[in-house]
Amino acid sequence: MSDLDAKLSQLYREVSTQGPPPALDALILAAAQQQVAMPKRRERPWWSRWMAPASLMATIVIGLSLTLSIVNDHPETVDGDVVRQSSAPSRAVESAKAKFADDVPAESVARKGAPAVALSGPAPQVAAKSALTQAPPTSAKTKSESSLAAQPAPLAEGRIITPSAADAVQAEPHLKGGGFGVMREANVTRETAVGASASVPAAPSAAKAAPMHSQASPRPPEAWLDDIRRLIREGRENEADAQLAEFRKAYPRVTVPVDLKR
Amino acid sequence: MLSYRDGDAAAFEVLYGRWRGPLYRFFLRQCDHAGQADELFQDVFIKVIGAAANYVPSARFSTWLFRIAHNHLVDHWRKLGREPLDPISDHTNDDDCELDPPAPESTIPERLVERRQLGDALMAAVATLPDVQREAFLLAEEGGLTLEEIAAIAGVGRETIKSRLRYATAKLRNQLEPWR
Repeated sequence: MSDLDAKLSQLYREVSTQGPPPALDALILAAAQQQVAMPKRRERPWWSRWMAPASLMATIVIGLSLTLSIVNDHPETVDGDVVRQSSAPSRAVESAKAKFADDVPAESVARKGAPAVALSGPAPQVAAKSALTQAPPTSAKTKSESSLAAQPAPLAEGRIITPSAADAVQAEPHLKGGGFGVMREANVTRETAVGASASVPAAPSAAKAAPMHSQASPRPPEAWLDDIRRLIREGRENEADAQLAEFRKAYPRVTVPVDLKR
Repeated sequence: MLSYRDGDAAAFEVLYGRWRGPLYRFFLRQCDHAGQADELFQDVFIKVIGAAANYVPSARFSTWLFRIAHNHLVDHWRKLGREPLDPISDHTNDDDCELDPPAPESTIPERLVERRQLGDALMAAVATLPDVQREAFLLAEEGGLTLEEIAAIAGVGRETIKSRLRYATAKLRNQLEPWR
């Protein structure tokens, strides 16, 4: 640079003395102090970067091992679903029946009303079969034509029955195989019990309902006719007529005795 | 800066005390308002503080500092919609261009009646310089940077910067002629 430029430069430096305001100085210096005071980020060790992927891999391996182990040890839990679905309802109802019969006398069952009815007779079995399997035409007709099938049972009544049925299943020795099989069967049984109790028609009175549901199952013609005779003797003409009609549908080839022709 | 990077806060105070004035004036001469200069000045030093942890000395600190300042100023101008390039920059980039004949030595004011008034006139003359010439002048005067360093910051050739500086000083001399 020439001498002229040097003088110009000197003049510039003489007059150019402005600086930032003190507040700005304080702000920047405070920021610098704060930056130094901040703890430095610790460098993570090399293995910590692999922790998350390793954990994920371990979880997957353990899960797969458990699944394969269960499948190998209890193949029926995987393959026997269809078999259990068809067999569980009857088992559940039978076990529930057995438990209920052990615990509660028959007469008290009749007084307890619809929930008891669902477990007292063979009706739950019929209902369960109709719910989970294809019910035979006879039982379907019986249910639909029954004079007591007019009102469906409330769901609450079904819920009352459910625990006892499930308990009965748990009490069953042949269901205590262990593993998922028992749990799945218990679930199926519980659903079946609920479905059965919900599908069983509720009786207006439990005292009437009990014998009628007992007649819903296939019976020998002679026994059925004797029951009809008994209803006539007791003066329950309407019920006798209904039973007679059902009898004629169930046994169309059996000749109705003369004393019952009405 | 290396000491500050390693946790010595006092080192930053020394650094700041050395460069606070030049950097502030670098912005002040190129902004319309002192408030803008304050804002840009603060932003640049905050950037410096934030970048201290990863600072690697690849050049002089002043070069690094004024490079940040230059880039920030360009961004600021872009935000304002102002064209940072000088309209005559194409002409000034021509190294072979004919320079204005430098003022003869006899035109230099032999006596300054009022130093301060002359200084004010110089500041006014600096303000009238084209942007690129003014920036080159300020980087040389305030930053004490060499032609190569200014060229690296501005992203142009060394000769271009040399040309810009010649134009700038010639214009300043011409404007200070009445004070001769």
